[in-house]
Amino acid sequence: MHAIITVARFTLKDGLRHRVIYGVFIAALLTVACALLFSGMFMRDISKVILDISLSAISMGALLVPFFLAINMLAGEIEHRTAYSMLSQPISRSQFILGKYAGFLLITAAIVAIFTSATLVAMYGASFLFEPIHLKTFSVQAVLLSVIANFMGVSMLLAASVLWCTATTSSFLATLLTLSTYFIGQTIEEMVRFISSPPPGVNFSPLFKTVIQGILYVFPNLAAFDLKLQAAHGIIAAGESILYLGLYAGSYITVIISLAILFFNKRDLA
Amino acid sequence: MKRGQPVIWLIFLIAGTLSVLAAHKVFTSRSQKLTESIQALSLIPPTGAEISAMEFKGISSDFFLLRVMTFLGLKFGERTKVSPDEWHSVYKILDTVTTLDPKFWDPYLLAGTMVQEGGPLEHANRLLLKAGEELPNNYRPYALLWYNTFYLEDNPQKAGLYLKEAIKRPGAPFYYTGLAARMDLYADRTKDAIAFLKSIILDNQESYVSEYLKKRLISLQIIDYLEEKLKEYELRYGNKPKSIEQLVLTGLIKKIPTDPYGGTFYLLPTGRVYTTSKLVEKKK
Repeated sequence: MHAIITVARFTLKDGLRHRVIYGVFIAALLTVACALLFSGMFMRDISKVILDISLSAISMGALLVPFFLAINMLAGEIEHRTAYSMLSQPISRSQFILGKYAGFLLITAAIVAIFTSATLVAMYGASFLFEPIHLKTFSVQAVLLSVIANFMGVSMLLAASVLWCTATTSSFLATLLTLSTYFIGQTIEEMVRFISSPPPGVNFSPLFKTVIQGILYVFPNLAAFDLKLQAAHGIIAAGESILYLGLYAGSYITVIISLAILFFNKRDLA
Repeated sequence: MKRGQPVIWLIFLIAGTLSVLAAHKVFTSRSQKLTESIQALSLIPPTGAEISAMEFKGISSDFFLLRVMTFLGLKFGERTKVSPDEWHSVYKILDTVTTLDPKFWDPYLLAGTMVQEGGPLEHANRLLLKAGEELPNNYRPYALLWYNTFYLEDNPQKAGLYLKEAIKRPGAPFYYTGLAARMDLYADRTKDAIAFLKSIILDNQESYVSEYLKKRLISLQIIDYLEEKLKEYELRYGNKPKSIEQLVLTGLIKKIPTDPYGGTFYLLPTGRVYTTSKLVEKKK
């Protein structure tokens, strides 16, 4: 456990060395300003527009970690053999992967926390600029639940990103596979629903249906973790659905990280 | 100052000026293409937009709506007429916006109010019905539907049904009940109006609301009573009376009842009974 914490701490420090937090802080300030300016152009649903922008910014900010930072750091370390220096310490390969994943999660959490604070600041600022009637649907609880769900979704993608870093030989390939995982994860639910009840005259072969349905269980269903629209309208997600999302995210991450450890253990680093 | 630095400053200033001028030119030339861009945007099917927006449906709906508002703002600002094709594109985009975010009230409101500026009524009403389904706690979609149906379609019967739907929702003004009853009266459904008002009065314990509705109920009951007597007159004499006074003269009624609103009941050319108060309280 100590080794995992050491790697996680090292990863977090390394991430901070990339000036990520400063960049995120500036981006968060821009989000606040943009949300307030943009929302003023609408008629009634002002809080909805502010939250659309802010919650989208949280998603985009968090996605930077699995798409760029994690791949840049982990795949780069494996590619350039710099992971050696850490693995020469009394740290096993599985501890290294777990520590790396925990470190990336901490960076993601920091980014999400900064953007969430910016969201709340934007709503506070809006209370001075707009009539209360335009902000009446705002619910802190709905926003926080949406942020938690978003974090869980990004954590799943992050696990996939770690897997692709350990399974492939180049960071470019890992980025491409992570992007594909994201696009599949965002659209697969819609596709399964479509093939389950196709419009009249459209038929799919049983094999095609089975493949599409199989993908739903192999790739993370990221669309399920998107509660932004509900949060923007002040609709609080049911506790039960959050619980199921947590269960799904936890079990999926465990499977994917186990797979990543298996790949990494087999990998010839020499 | 290092050698060559003034040259860099000069290049910077010239390029900066050119950049600002070019940006302005690009902006103005693109605004002329706004119509094309609106038509192009309307070609995106709602389901396609929904899938391609992925987790950014909310912000995509905001962007689509902003494009529509910019287009209409530009048209109204230039005092140019929006063509039927352009209205069609506008309403198709509004349909996409409400597919991306079905609970977004602004596009529905825009659709409903744009009818006043020449927007197609059929499309607007379809979107407002969508709003009625998606926003079960908002009475306004049905209030706008009532307005469009009563004033623009001249269909009091349908308008009354919309108002009755609005009344069921939280926050609906209490006078909608009386207004709905008036719609029934206009649609020659006085008995429906009376039954409707009686049920609402039974459910409503607030004194000021009940008082307002009771007054309207009494007026409608008088109108119904007089219309029944007119039918009786026609059966007895084989022709329609020329005025309500003839009912008194022939002894069918003892006297013309008093209008609770202070008006006088009279016979319309259509054979229906109405009052000079128009069922509105006289200003003191």
